[in-house]
Amino acid sequence: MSEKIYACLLCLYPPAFRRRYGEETIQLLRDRLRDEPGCMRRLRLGFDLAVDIMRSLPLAYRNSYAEATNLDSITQPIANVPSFRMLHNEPIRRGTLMMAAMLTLTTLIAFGYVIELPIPSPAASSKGNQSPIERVLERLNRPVPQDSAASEPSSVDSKAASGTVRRAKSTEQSALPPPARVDSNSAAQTIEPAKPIPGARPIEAESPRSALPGPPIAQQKVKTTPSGASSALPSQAKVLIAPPEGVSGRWIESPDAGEESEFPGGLILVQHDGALSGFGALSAHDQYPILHGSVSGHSMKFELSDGRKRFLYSVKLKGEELRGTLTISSGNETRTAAVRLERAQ
Amino acid sequence: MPKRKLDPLPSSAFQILLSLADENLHGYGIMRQVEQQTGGRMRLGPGTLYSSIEALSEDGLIEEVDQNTDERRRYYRLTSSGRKLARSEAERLADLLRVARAKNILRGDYV
Repeated sequence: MSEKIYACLLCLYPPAFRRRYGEETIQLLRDRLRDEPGCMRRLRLGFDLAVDIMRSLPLAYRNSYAEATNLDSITQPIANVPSFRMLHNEPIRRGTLMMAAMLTLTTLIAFGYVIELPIPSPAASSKGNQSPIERVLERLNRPVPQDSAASEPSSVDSKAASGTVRRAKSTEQSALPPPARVDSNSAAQTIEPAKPIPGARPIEAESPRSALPGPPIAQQKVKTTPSGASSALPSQAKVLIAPPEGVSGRWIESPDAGEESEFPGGLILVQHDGALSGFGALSAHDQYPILHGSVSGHSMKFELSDGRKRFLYSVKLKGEELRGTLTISSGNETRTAAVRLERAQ
Repeated sequence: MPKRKLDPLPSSAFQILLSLADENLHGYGIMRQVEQQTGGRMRLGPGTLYSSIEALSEDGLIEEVDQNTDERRRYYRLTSSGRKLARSEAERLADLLRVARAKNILRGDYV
């Protein structure tokens, strides 16, 4: 092993060791090279040096603590004068590594918490940040200005209960025809058009006329204006022709006594322009849009997914409840459970 | 707080203490002396030698001396505490030797 190679290997040792014994180790190597000529002896010398480096490195790093202690005693800080400690001579201590690990973990946890917070929206009210689900609920519960044709003030819920719908123009739904007025009685009120939820497809009607036992809901509850807006709908438009009356709102899963909730959360259903969209929500941060579904009378079937499982709801509107079954599919596993959702007040 | 490096005393450190028992030596001299007193079985490399020297110096068992013979080399000498530690280590080994002899592990070839 030549002197240059060994000098390079000396860089593995702590700086304090190199400063104090670097020259002497090189000198010792020179002495051995001088006193041990011959190929075999040089080979043995190289082997000895390689083994020696591996054995002595840990010891050299342990010894370097002493120099740091001596430096502390030599460089006493002067009062009211900033002082600096040179750390490059000290090996990394276990406490330092532990502290670094703790700080890294804390930073990651804080970062994860921050990205879970709702994104501030310019449309947020003075209450602070609002998640999309909160905005939808606020819109549903917002008192609407009284229509000139309306005779009694009411909220959206009463409006839905009365079955009076006034279609408003939605600029974001180009598939829909121009605004049309749909009246079922004279107490007409205005539903403010809800913004379509990104990713949520409107529920498609499943043979709305033939599936109904009696007269179709469209014929019972919805009457188009003379302008014929409903008849002008494209035949393949994926809109709900006759959604169950009063479906809009927030529905909270309410398991029966002794049963465990399969999908702890609820549903947000928004009815607008004759279409019904929405999403399932575990919380304000976990919301999954309804993928597709169908409506037959007061029965509805729709499906949503959280990415891993698919939730197929088959429910029927009974007063202020949605009752039916929930089929959860995850891979090859499929199970069905009864589900009951109550309208959230 | 560093852990004590010489508890128990490594054999290399004990050999260095023994090599300095008679005279002051520099690093290469210590290496040769150790090689000689162990019959060539122990040959200290530079890293092991100077790490052990540093550990012994930190514990006050050896110290540097000015020989003024060669400025490139540092000479080391055994301190009184180092001599005491070497003696106690030798006595410990002598006790082991007596036990081994009592157990008939060793024959009379040894001391």
